Amino acid sequence: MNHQSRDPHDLDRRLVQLIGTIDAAPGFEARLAARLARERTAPDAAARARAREQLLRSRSDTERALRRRLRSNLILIGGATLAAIGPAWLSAQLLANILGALPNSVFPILALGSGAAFIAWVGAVLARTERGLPATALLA
Amino acid sequence: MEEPIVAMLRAGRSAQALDALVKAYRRQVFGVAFAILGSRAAAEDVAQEVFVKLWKSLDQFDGRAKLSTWIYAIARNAAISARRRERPTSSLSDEAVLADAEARAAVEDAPGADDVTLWRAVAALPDSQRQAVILYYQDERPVEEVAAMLGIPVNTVKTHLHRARARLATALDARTPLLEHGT
Repeated sequence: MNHQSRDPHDLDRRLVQLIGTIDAAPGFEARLAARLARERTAPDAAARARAREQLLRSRSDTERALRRRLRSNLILIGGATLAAIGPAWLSAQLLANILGALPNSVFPILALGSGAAFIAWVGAVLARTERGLPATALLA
Repeated sequence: MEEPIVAMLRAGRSAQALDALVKAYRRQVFGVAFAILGSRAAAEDVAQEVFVKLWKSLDQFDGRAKLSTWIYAIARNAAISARRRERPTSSLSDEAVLADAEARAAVEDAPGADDVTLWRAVAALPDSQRQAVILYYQDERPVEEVAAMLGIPVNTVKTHLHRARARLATALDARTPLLEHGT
């Protein structure tokens, strides 16, 4: 009987018999259907997670942009103040020399007043720019 | 069996196409996965993964290649990826096939005992030969189809089968003197 193994047809037949049993376990289709059902609901959850993440990202982007704008505005206002006080002081002194009659206490008041006016002007320019309006009207 | 499925896809009936696809290709996809992985449980996981992938990408099938070629490529790649991911199982250690052979041995006496030997001999074949043998004998497929399933030339499949048969015959013959001595 074992001599049958020397017969190639018998070997073929036995291989078919043995290997032909290889298949998925019963219920494969049902298990696949369950998995597909899970996969069908998974994209919704993924989309929700993506939307939430995008919202958080856009919020943090907005906060970051606001902080950056505030910082640059403060630097601009500070710089403008320093730049305005010096010339205002000098022009006030020049005016006092010409007139020769103004008391010394007027100089710092003039300097601060012109500095404040300059700051207000810069602030107005910034406000218009942030609202999307052209600042050229104020610069003119 | 390919045309009706392709027609369903063209008509936008993906769900129906998938049902038909599972019915038509379950054994082939499972066969490819089993031939590469050597384990029924791992092959089932991969077969399911393949059909999920197919479901997700059915709309992308443009009909330029044969549907079966496309499916076999997905199955092959999924099985190879799974084999890389997991630790290699002991070569073709499928307990279900072995148990089946042993059960036959108990009922039919010696022929079943030979099946155990045969199965162990199949398990001991080099990967490429074992894969060709499994896919060829699973459904007595034409070598052309086995070649398409494995993505190799037809002549290579023939060579693998020829060498595998010689090895298997030798393995069975080597067992003969022991049995004859024992009986």
